[in-house]
Amino acid sequence: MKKVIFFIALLSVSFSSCYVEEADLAENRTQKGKLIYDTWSFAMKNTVTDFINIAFHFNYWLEAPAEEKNSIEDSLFSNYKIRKESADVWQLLKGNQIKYRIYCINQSLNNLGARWNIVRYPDSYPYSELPYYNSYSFTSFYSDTMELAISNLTGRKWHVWMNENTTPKTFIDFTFTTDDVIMPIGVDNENMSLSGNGTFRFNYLGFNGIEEDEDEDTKRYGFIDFTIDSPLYYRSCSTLFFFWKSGKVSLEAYNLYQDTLKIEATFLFPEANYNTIQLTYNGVTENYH
Amino acid sequence: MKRIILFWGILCSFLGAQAQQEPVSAPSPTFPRHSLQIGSGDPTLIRLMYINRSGCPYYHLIDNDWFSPDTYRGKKTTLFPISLSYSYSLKKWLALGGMTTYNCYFYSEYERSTRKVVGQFEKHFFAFMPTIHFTWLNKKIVSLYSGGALGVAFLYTYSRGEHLWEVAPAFQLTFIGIRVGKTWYGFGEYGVGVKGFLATGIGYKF
Repeated sequence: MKKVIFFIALLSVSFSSCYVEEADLAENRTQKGKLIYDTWSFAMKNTVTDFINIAFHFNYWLEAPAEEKNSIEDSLFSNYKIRKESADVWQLLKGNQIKYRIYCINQSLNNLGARWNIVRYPDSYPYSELPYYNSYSFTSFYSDTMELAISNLTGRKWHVWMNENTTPKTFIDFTFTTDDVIMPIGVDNENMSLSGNGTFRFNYLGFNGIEEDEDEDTKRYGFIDFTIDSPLYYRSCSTLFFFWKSGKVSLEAYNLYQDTLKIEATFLFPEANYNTIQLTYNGVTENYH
Repeated sequence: MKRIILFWGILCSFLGAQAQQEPVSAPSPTFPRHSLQIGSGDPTLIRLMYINRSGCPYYHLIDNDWFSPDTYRGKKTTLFPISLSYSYSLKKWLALGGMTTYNCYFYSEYERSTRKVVGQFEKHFFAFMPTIHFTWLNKKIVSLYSGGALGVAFLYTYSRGEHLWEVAPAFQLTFIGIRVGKTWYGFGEYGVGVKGFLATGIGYKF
């Protein structure tokens, strides 16, 4: 009988140990750096697509022979109607609303010294069209009427700048360069390199993705300062991001409470099939493919 | 829950009525009236009803802004609930008593980029309940019983330097239990409540 009791007691004691669940996956040490890099890359893609490429696309259309203009309009401006406002001013209409007004001073962007201005008008409800990425909306350049200036510096080098009167100021100041003789259709072109710097502003939307009142919004702004330390060479893009085959960029994310995070991204192209982004964050360097 | 309580109420009334039918003149049997027992069960219900109920928060990058801590959870450890109970047998088939149950649950929180511990999460569960047991098979060394308990649970949570106390109802229904032994005995129970679905342990009658 005592053996039975002993056996049950033993069973009981062994049963009284612990139940353990595995830990969460630790993931990469630079994961936060990658998130901020991705957010910057997302903002770059939007800025290039909605502002800078409009200039190059429109120049391509402007220079095309008359018989090709319709097909170019269908492919590059499928959402817009092109209307001439005056000798040097064009409109891109979305429905009946003017979405862009293009001031083509000196006509072709191909010409040395050409300088264009492109004004983008927001929708009636600008917040509804803010690009959104992972808890942050990209608020730079989208909620107000924004003017981009582009000038041809050397024939195959273009200076692009745009700034928004905010505190701190958000802006881009880029130089695009190509060795090609042919005028590029867009800056998302393998033979283009990009250098410069800028600041993007984002608005943290919180867990529910809901905008809070205006004062609260201001407190929740996040900014990313960036400096291109070594020219970025375009390789390809997805719907969200650009992929660079070489170059280096330094990012500094901060908010209005003096919280700061620094990230360095170096782009490597060791093989034809994939890109490598080498990220350094918090003293740790990791590669992402 | 109300149905279960109602069922036990009816059962108690029935057994009470049975007890009243015993001849008054029958001599009181002598048997050990006190019983102390310690046991352990599975933590399934405590985790579902109490521990997971109020959440086990930790920061994760996806849910937070860039400047919030980015952490991940280490191993979750849950102790199997330990119960200590005392009962007094009014009759051979009826015992009243009390039970206390303890369980705890904890994990560390790690900063993702440094892999260092930056926080600790702990949850401690204490339940205090009066109990009633009906022994419906009473042989020399084996007895079968059912029972129930209803009381109060106190939950203490410690997370990121903050302390929180909560109070919640606690219960235990034992559908079937078996005791094997005379003075020292082992027991096994199948039921539902803070002791879990299955519980086992040892006891002492005196």
